Amino acid sequence: MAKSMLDIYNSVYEKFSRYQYTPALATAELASLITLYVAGMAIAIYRLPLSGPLMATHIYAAALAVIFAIGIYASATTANSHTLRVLAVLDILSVLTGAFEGLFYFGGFTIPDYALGMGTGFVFTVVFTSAILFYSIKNPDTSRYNITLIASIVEAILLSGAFVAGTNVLLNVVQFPLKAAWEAALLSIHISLGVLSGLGGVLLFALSYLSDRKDIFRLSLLTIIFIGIAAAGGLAYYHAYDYAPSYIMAVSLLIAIINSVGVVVYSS
Amino acid sequence: MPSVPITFLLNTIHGFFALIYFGSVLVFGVFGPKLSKLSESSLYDILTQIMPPLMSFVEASGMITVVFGAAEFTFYMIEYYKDGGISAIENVIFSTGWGESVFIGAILGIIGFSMGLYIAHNFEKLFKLAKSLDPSVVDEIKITENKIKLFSLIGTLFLTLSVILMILAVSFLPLPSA
Repeated sequence: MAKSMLDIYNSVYEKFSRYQYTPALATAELASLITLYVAGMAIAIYRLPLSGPLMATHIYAAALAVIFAIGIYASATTANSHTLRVLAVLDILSVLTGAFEGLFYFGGFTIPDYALGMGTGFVFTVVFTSAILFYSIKNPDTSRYNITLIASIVEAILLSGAFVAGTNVLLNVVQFPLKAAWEAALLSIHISLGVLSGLGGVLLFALSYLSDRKDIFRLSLLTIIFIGIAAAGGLAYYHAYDYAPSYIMAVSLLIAIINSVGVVVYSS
Repeated sequence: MPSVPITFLLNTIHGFFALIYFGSVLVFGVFGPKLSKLSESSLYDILTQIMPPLMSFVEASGMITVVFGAAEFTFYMIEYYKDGGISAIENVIFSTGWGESVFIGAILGIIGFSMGLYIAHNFEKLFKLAKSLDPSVVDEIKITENKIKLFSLIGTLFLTLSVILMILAVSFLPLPSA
């Protein structure tokens, strides 16, 4: 079945202009969130100074993310969908939390607490933005599927928890090997949540394989692939204390979060 | 001053979206009343097809202006706070020309923006009324239209004052030294 370019363009346009262009705005916001994360994590992991092109990328992408979040709010509220309205309010609240914590951090109060607040606001923004994106492009007639819904909600929570704990370790633990008990506790939380999310990812994948639903199956497959890459990166990091695998771990964790939220939305 | 390019960024975005918002408010405030001269059917088309996306665009640019303005204000105030605590902030806001005009301009701007939200709310009501074909809503449409006219005028006034004060602060008054 050969599809012409025009057909593809038309179907993409049809999908992305729904709900007063909410999906297009959500895609743009997700793209700027990923850009800001890739730049910001590079700075945090490689302990770079707070200046230069990476910093500029981080700040500009953050500003774009705020602009797009406000745009989503405006179009979702006029789109007559109660779910989208609630999600857009939550999205705007989390993006503003992250942005203002970042403003305090880069504005002069350079202590890890503000950076951690920025990271927490960020992960909530990613969750709500992907929820908005998947909700607005999914076929409104898709039926509910409780089994993967529960499994993916658990999975998304575990992954976000692993993200927050990992950011906490990254910002507060200055060097390995660990010296204090609280450092060990933080790292254990991160690793335990990581291992649990690995198990949850396998469970989710198995359940989605049994579900006869292609959309859920594909997203679960992506989730488990990126959890696998993240786990491999994490193990390589704690083996050699080399920064590059840790960077890979961080980036694939983010993509796994986005996909697991996709499963939540597609099965609800 | 930290080496992070935040001030420039906040300034540009705040200014850019303020231009869009103020411009569209002026258009609505000045030319909005002319809409009622249109014929019934074209008015209906405008209210149902063109206005809703336009309203959300204008509302979003106003919100972006407020958010980035608040961020910019916070950013400046952090610097004064680090220099002399709360008293330094009070000193800058209440006894320098720059602080006074920025602060009063911000309050007037927020009042104008809230009126904009109220107008948007009334517009939404108008869209709903225009969609219902019941003839008994004609009076209600008249009342809503008058509300929109009145509040556009007051909101435009507040926003104009705010814009004048902001331009005054940024272009003519010196930034107080920390």
